[in-house]
Amino acid sequence: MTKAARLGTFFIAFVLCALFFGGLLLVAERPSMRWGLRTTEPIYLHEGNVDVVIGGSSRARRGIFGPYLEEDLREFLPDRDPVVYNLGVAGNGTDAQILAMIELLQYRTVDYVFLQLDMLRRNRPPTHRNLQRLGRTWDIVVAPLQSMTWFEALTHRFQLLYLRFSLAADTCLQLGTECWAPKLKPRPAQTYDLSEPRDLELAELFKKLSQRERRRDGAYFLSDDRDWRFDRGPELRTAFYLDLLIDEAAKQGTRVVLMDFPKFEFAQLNDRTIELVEDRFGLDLITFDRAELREMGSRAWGDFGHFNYVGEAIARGKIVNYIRSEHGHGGH
Amino acid sequence: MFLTPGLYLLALGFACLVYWAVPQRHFGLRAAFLITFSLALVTLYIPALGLAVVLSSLLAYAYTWVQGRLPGKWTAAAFIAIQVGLMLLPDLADLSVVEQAFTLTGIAYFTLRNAGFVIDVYKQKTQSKFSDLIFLNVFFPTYSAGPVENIKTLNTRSCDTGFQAEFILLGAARILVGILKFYVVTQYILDPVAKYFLPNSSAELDYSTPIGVWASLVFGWFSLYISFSGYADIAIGSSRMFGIRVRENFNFPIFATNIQNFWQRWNISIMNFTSEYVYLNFVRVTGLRVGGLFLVFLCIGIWHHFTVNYVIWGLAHATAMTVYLKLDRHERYRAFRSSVQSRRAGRWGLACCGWFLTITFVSLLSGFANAESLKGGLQVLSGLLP
Repeated sequence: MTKAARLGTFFIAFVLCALFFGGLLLVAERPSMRWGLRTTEPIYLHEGNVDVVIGGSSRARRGIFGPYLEEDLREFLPDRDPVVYNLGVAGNGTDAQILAMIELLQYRTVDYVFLQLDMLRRNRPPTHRNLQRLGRTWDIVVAPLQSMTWFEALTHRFQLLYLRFSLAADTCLQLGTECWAPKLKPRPAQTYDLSEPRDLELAELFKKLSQRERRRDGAYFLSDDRDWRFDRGPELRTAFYLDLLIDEAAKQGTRVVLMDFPKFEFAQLNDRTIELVEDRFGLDLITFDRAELREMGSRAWGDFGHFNYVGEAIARGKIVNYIRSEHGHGGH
Repeated sequence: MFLTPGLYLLALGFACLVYWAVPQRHFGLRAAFLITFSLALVTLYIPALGLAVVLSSLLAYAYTWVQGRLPGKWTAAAFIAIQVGLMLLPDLADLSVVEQAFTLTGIAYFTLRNAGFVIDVYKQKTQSKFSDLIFLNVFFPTYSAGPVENIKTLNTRSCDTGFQAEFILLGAARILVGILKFYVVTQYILDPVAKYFLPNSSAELDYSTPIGVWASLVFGWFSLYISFSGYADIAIGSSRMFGIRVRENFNFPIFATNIQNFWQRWNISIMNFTSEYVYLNFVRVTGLRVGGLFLVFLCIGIWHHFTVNYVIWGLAHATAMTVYLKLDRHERYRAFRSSVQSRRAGRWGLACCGWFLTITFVSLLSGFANAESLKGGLQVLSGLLP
């Protein structure tokens, strides 16, 4: 075999491989496959406008109960049924959480986006564990990984692609799933049992309190003493995605609001941080001040990270108040 | 398995379609496709692994060029040492990226095959091309966990076969058996039973009875065997679907009645490989059979993991094998065994005793070797004391 023939053979082999992997990527690119498995909202069944979208991690997911908020919004929309989507995705990492919202904005008219604020914090993983599911292939290719070395970033990116291929292949082999189904079947909405309060375990609480005694700032809550800088590491990545969301929202005329979902006994946003975020992004912020948190005590949390029905009602009230004030000022 | 089940099966199906669509006379294209496709899968999984397998193969293949200019055993030894160094890199390196990239399965296999290739070239048993070597190393059904083949039995010429429907049927049946073992028997039956006896490994040792620890170790080993043999079934079945026959790796080691019989049934491909490349060469040079036995098991232990536990594991197996072989050749023992085996009950009794001792021995050593540290391994064994 001549050298040219050998090269030609490998070129044909390469093209055949590219066909396989390209085909898998096309399958994985379908929104029904990417979204269908990760959100309980009937996004594909409802095709009208959306009034409010909540985004963030599990704290946003469990922090606002969509149907209750829809009931509250009837005050402003008496002539139709309000629509609220909660796209909170459990886990750390702003990329998947924000990309899900950006994609929704591209297909639906959305009035308000309430995005969980404190996911901007440090010590986050480079990408959300579901980025390879929720994002488009291009999102994976351009995901900003500046804080990693080039080799780590290359490895990480390849692994995301590998997981994406695996997702497509695994789903394709499960007959009757989103891959082959022409349209998503309706599925029951996820519900939370909010009838009973879920109290904190007191022993665990006291243990944590005793451990934090020396670092405590104020009566109940710690303050975040670290400056946020949006030119490095996790904050840079967050700023990258938040800017994308803000740009898309500006095109669609959607109002983006950042919202704090505090953790019990964890560091709170200080004034300097709030000012910094406002200056950088120019967005409204909904926060809990220290007096409010002190008054809420432990009764508002189901566990250290998530609101229970009491906390949910308070957080929901803040959103309703915000929308009310906007309507009062002739906003949306 | 380095691919998820869905990706593996889909990749296998696609590769089979392309492979058999290419006429037999163009078997070079078949081989080129399998090389490219397998390399793409490995690289996609961990880019550094793709790089490592190519680099390791290039280094081994470079010996064919060097041999003509610098002949001699020391040159060959240096090239083998390079492969051994690469093999031990995951256990020796302390860099996070290297850890991430190299601790995953596969590196031990392709470096071993490359070391075998260097020996074959040194002994002038092969004149294979680089494409043969890279095919041997990246062929995706056997890439990550064997069975271990050498360049003489698995190369691009293996693709020179005509299509037969039985390849697909028998291959698929074998894969089904493997999936059943790997995903059903191990995960739903054996692992829960092993965990029932010892829920949280060493943390629960103080609260477990010696029988509980023993049962946990035996079921843990049995689970390891079933999952490993299930993987071998998948690899053999997948290869069969391409019309390529690879070696069997297990022959019901669970029925072994002595340690020699066990090693004839357990991980057969690695035993054949080490016998051919380590034991025979060592014995031919030194004439020391027992030394060869120790060297083989030491190599297998270090090949698993370069840890004290696995070195002890290898030495223990070598010792047991030596004792058994000496005993087997002892006339008084042979006479005693013959007298016992003359009766049916005696034959069964001896077989059962041998089976119990063999399984217990390999299970305990497996539990010891797989512990996190020497101390942890000793703790596991001390759990057997009342």
